[in-house]
Amino acid sequence: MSSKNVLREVRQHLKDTIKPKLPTRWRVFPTLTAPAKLTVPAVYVEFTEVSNEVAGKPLAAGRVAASFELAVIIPETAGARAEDNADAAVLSLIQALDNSDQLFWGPSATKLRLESGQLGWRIPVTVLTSTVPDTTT
Amino acid sequence: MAVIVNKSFLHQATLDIGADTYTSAFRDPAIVPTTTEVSIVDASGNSIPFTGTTTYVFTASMYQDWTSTGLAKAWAAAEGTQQTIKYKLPGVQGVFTIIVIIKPVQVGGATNAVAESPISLPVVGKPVWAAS
Repeated sequence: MSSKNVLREVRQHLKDTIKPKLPTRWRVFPTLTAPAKLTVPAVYVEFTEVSNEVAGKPLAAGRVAASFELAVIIPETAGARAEDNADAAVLSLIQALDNSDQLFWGPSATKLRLESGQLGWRIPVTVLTSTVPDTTT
Repeated sequence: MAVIVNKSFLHQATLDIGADTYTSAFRDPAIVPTTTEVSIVDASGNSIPFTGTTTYVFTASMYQDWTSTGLAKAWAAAEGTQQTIKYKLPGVQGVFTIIVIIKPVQVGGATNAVAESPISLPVVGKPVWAAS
């Protein structure tokens, strides 16, 4: 784990981890921002839970599992084209998550539709983090 | 007859190995005794039990750490050596000192879970209790 992967900075850490692996024009919001008027796909990071367990096993003192919901939203609002773009967007996000260390997604992603009409996907992500920075790695 | 109130406690031990503290490298540590038992039936039909000498093993789940300060890495190199573990229980429950024979630990394990290794090390002799 990098020394920046600590609980108090874990939202920013998650953003910094996945942003370089996503298409460059995408936007990533590490906070609960109200959806802006989108022109490009956007990923919203919702920090929902901290836990001392991963896969039912308790963690060592100092380790924390942080749970997130990532919502990837595309700007298009209707039509087969919009749905194709939404499905392509979730694939890009899954590939970015699969290529990242010390986190995993799943078990499943679900499709969503905002009141304003945009399509997207919601993916649960678990990040292993710590209460204090690791000093030796 | 006196009523003895049992002072039960949450099991949260600290573990010193050699000169260093490695408490966060383990969960569920235990010093487990095993005593062989036999019983014979004598001519009158009575069953007479016997117990053998108790042997001990130190069991735990180790959180793997293969960095330079990691215990997993250290134990892979220290195979077969004897090391002293001080097993300190909370409050005034005391310290159990054991001498174990080091074995290498499992590498890896379940995907998308924290890497753990089951530990079972034979204890030389018996645990020695001291006040903490």
